[in-house]
Amino acid sequence: MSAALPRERGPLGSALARVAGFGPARVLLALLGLLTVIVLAWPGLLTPYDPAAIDATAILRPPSWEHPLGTDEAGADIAARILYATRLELGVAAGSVAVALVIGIPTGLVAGVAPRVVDGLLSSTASATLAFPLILFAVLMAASFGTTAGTLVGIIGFLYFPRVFLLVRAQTRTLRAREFVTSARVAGLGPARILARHVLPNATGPLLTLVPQLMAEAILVEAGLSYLGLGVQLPDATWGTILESSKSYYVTAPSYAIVAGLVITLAAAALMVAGELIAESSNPLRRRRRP
Amino acid sequence: MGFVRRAAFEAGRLLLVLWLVSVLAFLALRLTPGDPALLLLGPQAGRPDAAETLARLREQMGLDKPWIVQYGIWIGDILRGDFGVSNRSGTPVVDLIAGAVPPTLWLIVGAVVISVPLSILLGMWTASRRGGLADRAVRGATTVAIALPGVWLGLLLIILFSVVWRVLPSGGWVDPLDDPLGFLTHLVLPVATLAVYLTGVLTRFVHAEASDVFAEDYMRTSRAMGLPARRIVYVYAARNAVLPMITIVGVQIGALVGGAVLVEAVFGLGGLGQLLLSSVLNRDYQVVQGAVLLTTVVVLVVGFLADLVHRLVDPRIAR
Repeated sequence: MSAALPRERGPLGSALARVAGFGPARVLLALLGLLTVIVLAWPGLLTPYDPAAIDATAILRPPSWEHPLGTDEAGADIAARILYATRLELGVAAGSVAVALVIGIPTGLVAGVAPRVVDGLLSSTASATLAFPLILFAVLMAASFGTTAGTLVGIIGFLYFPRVFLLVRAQTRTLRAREFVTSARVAGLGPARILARHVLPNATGPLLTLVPQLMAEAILVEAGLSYLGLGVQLPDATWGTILESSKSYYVTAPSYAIVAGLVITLAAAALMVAGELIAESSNPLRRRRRP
Repeated sequence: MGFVRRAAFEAGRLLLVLWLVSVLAFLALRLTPGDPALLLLGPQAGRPDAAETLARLREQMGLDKPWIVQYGIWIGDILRGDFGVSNRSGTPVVDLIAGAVPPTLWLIVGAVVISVPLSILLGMWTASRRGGLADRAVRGATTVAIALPGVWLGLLLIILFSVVWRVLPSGGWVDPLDDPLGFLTHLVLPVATLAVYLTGVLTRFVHAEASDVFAEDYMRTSRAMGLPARRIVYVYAARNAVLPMITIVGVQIGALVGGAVLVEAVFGLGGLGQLLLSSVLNRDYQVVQGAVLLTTVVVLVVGFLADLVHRLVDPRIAR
């Protein structure tokens, strides 16, 4: 009697198995990502409406076949407004994270190898920024420096630089004691080259998991600031500004506020889950046992 | 490092951070356009003798001096316990802040009181059933809780409880001494809004800590000795999984103040956030600087104390 061998899978079968092994979260995320790319490239593809249209005959309509998400206070299609706002929304989020990376990575690398005084100064600046209630700080800055997409990117980016800084600093500290760094030093490489070629590449894994998380938080902070009237100003629009304009009509048109916030929640949750999945796949120790 | 030396070192770092924040708060308004004297003068600024009045106002407010001198005067006064007066109303800054603190404080206290026990239960329970349906459901729920914009959740609760069901007020602040019942009903929705976020964050934390604890040898030993499972989870494991939470609550205080500011705005509670926002827009230098500095002091001190308490009660980290 021979034990039943597992049947060989053909190329199509193994590809399918791999997709099935991804689990519903990955498939959903991939679909959402694809949708986002389409919307970013061509916001008009999915809606026939102009987001800036004014239609006095269709003000604050509830969702219908004609307007799947209803209309706003000017009679514009809310779905169209949300789709066209995606570029600026994700632009602000990605831009903020880019600013945080640009400030956080070099300072973190330096603090990781610098003498104690320099490290202490940089770390204190980072914890000063981190200790301060983010929204209060953002209110202070946005109200002082004006409310354009550019200043928002600067403010949120600056608020999040300590997170990047602390991560890179910690990574640098553990990596610099590793043998391959010592051998690089023995081989006569300069400190700048060692940091750029040997330390930084090994810190990219944790950074990759931090980026979607920070983007999600940036979207939430932007929504909060917009709610206080400190977001980008019309005619520019993000999801946050749409939520802000919906807040005056929650009694007569609750669906307006509901869909505006739903998009923000969905995007933030998707980014957070994406970050977790990256963390799981890049770090086998954190991979959860499958039942 | 000894305990005393460690505490002294941390206190020194705290002072450095405070100084940096004070510089930041001082410069933020001065680096940006907007003259508080001109704003205070309002429509009168168009009158022929306005220039003279303006100069006098600026002198009264101390704005004619160089920045470094202004900063020195401000810090000097603070060290003597004087936070100055509001440019606009002449009310002492400390009084304005004291008036704005109760809504913010009650919000945060309420959220902490609800979230801490709830997240301990949820975190321990799901960690003891790791990978199970409950674990995955709660994990998904915490993701949503953290991804929900506070302002939107507030709006949703208002739509549900105030517009559709008409059971709770949609906003406003009631002093607990005037009307204890009204105080509570007005606080339910705001506190719930903030507690959802905090419960999400803390549950994840307890879950992660508890998962580590369950992997320890003494857990297996106590199971092998036949101790009841419930006792193992909620007494022996909880003790070790929950202690680090003290520090996390301390760290989260900053985020909570930020969250409270937004929740206040949704429910019109008129707390610290609204004071700061209106003062920034009116360029009321003294109030903004005072509020920013005092909030930071509180956040830092709470974080510092939380860390200290954690070190005292948990001998494992008394390095």
